Amino acid sequence: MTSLEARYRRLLACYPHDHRTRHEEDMIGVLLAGSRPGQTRPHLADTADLLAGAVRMHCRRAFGTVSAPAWRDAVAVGMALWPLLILTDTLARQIMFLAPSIGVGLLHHWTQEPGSILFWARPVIVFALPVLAVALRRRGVAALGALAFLLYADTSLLTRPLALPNVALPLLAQVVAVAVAFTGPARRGASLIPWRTVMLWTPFGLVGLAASKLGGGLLGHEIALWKPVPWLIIMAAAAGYAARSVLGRRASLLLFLPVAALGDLGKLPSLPTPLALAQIGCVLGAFAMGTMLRDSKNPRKAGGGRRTHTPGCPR
Amino acid sequence: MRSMQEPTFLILTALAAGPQHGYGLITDVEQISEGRVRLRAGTLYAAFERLQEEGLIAEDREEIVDGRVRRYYRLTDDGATRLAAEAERMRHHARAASTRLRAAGLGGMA
Repeated sequence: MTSLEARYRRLLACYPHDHRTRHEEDMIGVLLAGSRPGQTRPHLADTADLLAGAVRMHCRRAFGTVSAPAWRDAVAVGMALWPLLILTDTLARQIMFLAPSIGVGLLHHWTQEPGSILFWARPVIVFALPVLAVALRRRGVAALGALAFLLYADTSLLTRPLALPNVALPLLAQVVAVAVAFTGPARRGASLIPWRTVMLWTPFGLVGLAASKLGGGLLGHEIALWKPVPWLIIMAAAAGYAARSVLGRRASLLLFLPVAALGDLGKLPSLPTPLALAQIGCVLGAFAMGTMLRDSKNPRKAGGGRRTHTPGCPR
Repeated sequence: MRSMQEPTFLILTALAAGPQHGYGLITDVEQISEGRVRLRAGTLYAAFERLQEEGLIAEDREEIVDGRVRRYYRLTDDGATRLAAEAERMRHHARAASTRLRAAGLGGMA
């Protein structure tokens, strides 16, 4: 292999795997046929053209018409997961509500007044119903969830200042969770979700969300600045884990912002630059760890559907 | 129908003469365009993929030359129809431009 061919091959390594498998030799032939005698390096214009071609092909696979079914599936998966995310958020909120009084006194209180357990668990039950409806694909359970939500919301809705975004947006997120349980796409999405994997990640999510909801008064100022980070790290690691598959990376992209907003992001936007960079570094590191975790666990499937010979397959 | 970009038009025109492989097509396009358009490999193979997706061209056959695969592409019936429509559209526009320039005595047209 000449040095020119080796350099062309390095440039072609930027192309999608399926394209390389099918066209690399053909393209090398074309590139070498067009080279000057004694040429050892690709011409700058050829380099730019090959890189631009690689970007175009990646974009076509990610966003072109060929990827439309994968995006539809990702939306369905996002819809199916949303009720579970709201349930996790609710559970985290309720745990943090209970945290200051956890102890023997609380057990005694619950033994004396069992009704207070129900009072505490009420929102958890309300948001568990849409999860069940999606997982079991039962409209009846979705209807029960909607009824439970209306009864639950009825007592608090009127007292909430709905014009405030920090009140209206969580409420909207809850309404969406209840509503999607009725939809066909959410039920279809449920069949595409690897539930075992999701259940393994959920406790970590719960811990991260609970950490992000810690009262600022309980923490020193310096620590409080880091409180959203565990949630972001867990989310990034889960996204990295999912990002190795065609469907997972699309679902991660769609869910990233709304799911990040479930945590209390507090003062993240106004952090000092070094601290912000350190936190971004943690999140990126977690994303990379997530992808490696998936690779080490399942090296044969690490390509997540990439190693196919179908021309223009979605990425 | 969206008008065709010049490289696409030239690729389809080159293939209208018969199946061609990548490098043959680059030289043919250069010839058709009288040296104005020189396709590069990155552009050409991105166009091949898009045109195949649109059903305008298809893979014809493969040959092994110097130990490398050389793949030939051909124009499909849809591609021929689309090329004919585009050529007609361009002919119509060119005729209109020529007529108006001639009427106004501009452009040094015969």
